[in-house]
Amino acid sequence: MKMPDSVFSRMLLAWLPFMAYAGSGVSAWRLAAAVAGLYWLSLLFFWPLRRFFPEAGARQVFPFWLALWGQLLWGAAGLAPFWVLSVYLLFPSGVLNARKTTAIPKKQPGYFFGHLIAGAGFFVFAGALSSACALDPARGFVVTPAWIFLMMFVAVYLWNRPSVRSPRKDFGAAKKEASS
Amino acid sequence: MIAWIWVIAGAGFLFAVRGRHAFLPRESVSPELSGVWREMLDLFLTVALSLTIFNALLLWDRTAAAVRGADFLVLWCFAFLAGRYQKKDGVFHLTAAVIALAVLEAKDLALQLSLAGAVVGGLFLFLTAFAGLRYAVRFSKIPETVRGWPLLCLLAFCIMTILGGILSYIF
Repeated sequence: MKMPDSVFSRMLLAWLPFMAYAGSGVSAWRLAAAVAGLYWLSLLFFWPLRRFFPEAGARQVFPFWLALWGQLLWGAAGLAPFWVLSVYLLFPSGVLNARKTTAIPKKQPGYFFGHLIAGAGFFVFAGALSSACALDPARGFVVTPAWIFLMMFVAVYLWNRPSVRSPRKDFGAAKKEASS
Repeated sequence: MIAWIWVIAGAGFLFAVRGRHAFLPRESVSPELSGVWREMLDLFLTVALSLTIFNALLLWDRTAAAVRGADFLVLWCFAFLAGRYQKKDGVFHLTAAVIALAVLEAKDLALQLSLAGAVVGGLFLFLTAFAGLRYAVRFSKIPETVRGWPLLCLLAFCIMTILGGILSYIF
């Protein structure tokens, strides 16, 4: 059993490093903006240059690229570089495997823009989830990691919730009832 | 000031889902505790190696200023080299670099290593509990809508409810 490399899975994992900033006073929206900004910059850098890298070369360069940006913003803006892990987890691995031509469908014009929009999606997702986790349902309530995981459970459950039962299942249930 | 319980919760869940021993090879196989133990030992040794070399470079006048100015990059380079030697992926060496940078807030190397050991120990507890609960859940009737991500989040919630209380006495 392996998790699918879907956008939602990547966004959920990419949000985890935000936990390291708990109690530091750093705005979640600022963090999400930094992650989305570097995500877009990485896409714009690696997408056109992916064919010039040797086999699996982009995979080796990408973490160094992230560490470099983490160091630059750590020095310039004082933003602790835990957030580079978010970019690493959010970035689609297919772009870095571009030498294997099967990884990227050539005749899909929306493929690149789909990844660009994922950055905006993460910005909204991370900001909204961080805001929801910071809610105080009762006076004196202390937000803990357990509470965050409960919020994540609610968010993921609502995302996966089947809106209506599929007709195939209904047909199966009706058949079972008829046979009994 | 780093909130260590949060770091353990976030990194633990990340390793549980994306780490090398995240998923059991077959449905019927019991969780491999030694795999989790080895992975965490590798993490601790990588962090310890990075910190030791970093502190050694700080003692040398010619390199101290440059190393202090590029602390994260230097720690990441050592973590990357150690991770590559052990054939680990990007999540491993980036997490090792981040933990090494976070424990630098302690004054000397002995304290930094103790702090790193405590964090990795917390991660080991989280991952062990997670693997055990995931294995146990296989034998219960879980509704289809809760399987997958919701179940993983629910397990992490259960673990952190208990582990958070224990870790709050340590950190």
